[in-house]
Amino acid sequence: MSHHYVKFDNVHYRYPDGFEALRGVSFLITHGEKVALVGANGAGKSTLMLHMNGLLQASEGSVIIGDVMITRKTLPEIRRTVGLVFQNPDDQLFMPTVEEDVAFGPRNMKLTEEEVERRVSHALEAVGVGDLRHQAPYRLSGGQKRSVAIATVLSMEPDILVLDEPSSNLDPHARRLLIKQIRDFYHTVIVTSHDLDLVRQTCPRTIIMAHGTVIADGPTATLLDDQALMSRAGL
Amino acid sequence: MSSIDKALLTLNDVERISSRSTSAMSVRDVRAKLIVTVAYLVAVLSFPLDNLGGIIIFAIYPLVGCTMADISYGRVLKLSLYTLPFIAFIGIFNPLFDHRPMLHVGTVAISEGWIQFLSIIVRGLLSVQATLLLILSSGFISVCRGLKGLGLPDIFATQLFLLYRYIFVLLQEARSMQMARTARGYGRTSYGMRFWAVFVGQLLLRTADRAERLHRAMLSRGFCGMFPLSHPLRWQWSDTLFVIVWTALFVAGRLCDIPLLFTHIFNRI
Amino acid sequence: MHMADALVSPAVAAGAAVVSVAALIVAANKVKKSDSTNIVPLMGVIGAFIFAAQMINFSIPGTGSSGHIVGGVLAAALLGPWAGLITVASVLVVQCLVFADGGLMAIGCNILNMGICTTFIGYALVYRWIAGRSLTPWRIFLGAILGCIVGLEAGAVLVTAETEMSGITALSWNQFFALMTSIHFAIGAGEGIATGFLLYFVAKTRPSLLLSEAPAQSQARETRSLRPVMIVFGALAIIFGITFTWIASSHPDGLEWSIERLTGSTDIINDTAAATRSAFANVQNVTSVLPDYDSTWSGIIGCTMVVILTWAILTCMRHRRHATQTVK
Repeated sequence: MSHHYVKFDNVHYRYPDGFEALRGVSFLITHGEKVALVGANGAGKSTLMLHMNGLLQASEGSVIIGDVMITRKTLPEIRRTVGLVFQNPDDQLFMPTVEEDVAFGPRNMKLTEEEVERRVSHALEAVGVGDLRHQAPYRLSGGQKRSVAIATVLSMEPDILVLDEPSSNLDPHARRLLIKQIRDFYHTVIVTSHDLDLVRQTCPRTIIMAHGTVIADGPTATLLDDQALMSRAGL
Repeated sequence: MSSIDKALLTLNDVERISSRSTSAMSVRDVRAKLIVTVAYLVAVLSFPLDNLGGIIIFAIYPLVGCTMADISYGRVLKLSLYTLPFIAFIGIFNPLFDHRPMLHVGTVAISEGWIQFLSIIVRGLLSVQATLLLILSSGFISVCRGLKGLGLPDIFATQLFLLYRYIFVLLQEARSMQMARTARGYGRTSYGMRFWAVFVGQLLLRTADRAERLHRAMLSRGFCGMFPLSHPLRWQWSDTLFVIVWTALFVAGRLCDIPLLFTHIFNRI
Repeated sequence: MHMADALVSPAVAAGAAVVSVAALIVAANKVKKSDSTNIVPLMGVIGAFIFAAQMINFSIPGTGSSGHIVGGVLAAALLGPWAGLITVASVLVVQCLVFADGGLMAIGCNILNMGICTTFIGYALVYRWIAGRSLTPWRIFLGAILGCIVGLEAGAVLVTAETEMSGITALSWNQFFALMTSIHFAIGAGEGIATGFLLYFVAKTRPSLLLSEAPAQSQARETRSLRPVMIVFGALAIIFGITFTWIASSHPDGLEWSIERLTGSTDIINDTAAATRSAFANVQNVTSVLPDYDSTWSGIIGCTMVVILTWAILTCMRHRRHATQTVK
């Protein structure tokens, strides 16, 4: 398991319309680290995130997840390893019930029904929503939706968890719960967020992005207290 | 209240009623309920229009069904009345064209056309009530599972699930867009074609973006073209009994001339 | 245009259902075969979008009234005719089950009238023929307006045929036909203009939404592969039409007809009816207080009374049960 590092090596990405969202991003995240990815809107965070499980593929440079380079062939393996939780839970919860939603990943992995069942219970318990099992997603509150969205990814038992803006639209109570959940994960966790307070409470390390490049990478407390750096990053 | 609000209200009502229930009707396998509902519709709709009494007696199924499902019949009746105008519009031509006298109330003759009109109304209401009973005692998703169990192609079942899921999301999105528009609309309530197109077009662009995000979320979780749908339905002997009893009653009600029975009883009195 | 159960006979409903189900199965296979996995989420949300768009009314110029779209041509323009058909059909299923808009028995008729007619006749034959090659504003508007009118008119003709074959309305073929086609001409024109504006907006802001489905090359191929299917459909529709017109005209009562086919005679019905009649005939002869009592009348009153009585008893039972539950 200790091989599951994330390595970006001079990654460039250009959208079909010509906009260059990433201009040479490099970093290394080792197993078990909790890293925040911050930056102003349009800095390239979301584009970067989509590279982590091959939803976008670098125009130039390479992305390596635990010794495996992302190519078309390795996609299924990469997607099992890296779990992506998207910003809007409504885009992530598309099945009729919570239970089926959490089972979606494992069933796609063609696991046995017993194993699927074990993973579903396990994932729901891990985020504390076992009682919502038979609910329909549209009947959940914002915080519950977020927890279930995380569970849908946990059920695939990824080694690396990537969360995009996890605290958006959460009430204070749900947010506290989320912070606790992030701290309790034993996986590698990568969080993109504008919520700097959440970043301070969960991630010892921060990577700051601006205009498609990494402008700072270091201990969270040091970076976030550097007023000049923060204003340069537009934060 | 806008039609969007009304639609959301109806959807939420159906969800609320169908999800709380553990009644005798709700626990039946949804396939059994589907079969019984179709048998009922065939029986009711195959009556000749002149046989008003025979159609009326079929109101017993929605009545008993509602009791079994622990739903107030008054509510189902009220919901079914919303469909009345359209049915009445088609039915009203019968009394206009058909003047053959059929019934007498004192000296006033009632034409066959009016009896047919009433028949159309009653069969309209009853068929809607039977469908409402099915959906309110099962829930939409469960009915889809039943249809899938009866052979609906996977692609279509998946489509129904996704559609139903995102109707809630899109109606809310459309509602908030409409609110923002009303807030600056200075009392204008309807849209000109051009403005309508821009408004609905915006909604469409957002929808396309959502499809893109949804696709990403699916791919991230190993989606490769087919939805893994697995939710076993459980058919019990009591479901078989349920189907047999009701179907037998419908066939009997359809084939025996029940109104004639009453004619004789009344004459005896 | 949603047909209620009240307006169809079981035979017509079954015939239309066979055609619609066949079309849906073919469509499902076509969609399953497509390489792109993104059609599945796209169909889902576009369906929800069509549903929501139907809730937003536009004002019809010069009339002071307002209308809404049916959305078949629009769905097909965004998804192609096959996926468009599945999408429209799924919207009709939700409307039928949740909103009692169109009946469960009539669902086959509705998918045929509002789904197949708009996506295949309105879009595939008309819109794509006019606007398929180049998306100039003129072609978009002309294609949308003609596509919607032709699609809806085709549906209106089928509504007429289905209702008349069911033997429900007293309106004659000609009267009903004139009524339906004139109403739907106006509706089609309104929907066409609105759809035209919308497609024009999409073509301007995000043309990829319209072109992604059918790039020039594959479109030509699809048109070619479409032809045999259209022929099969046409043949099916004609067979369906002839068969059911014949059934409807010679056997207005569908159930009796099917029983006759199953058992070789309608004696079952006649026998049971005769048995009931004779069983009471003697009684009537002896005891008839009102010999001229209108027989239909008493039948209706008797049946209504039974229903009301049942309702009363069930309501009492329900209240009692609720009362005991709350006591517990």
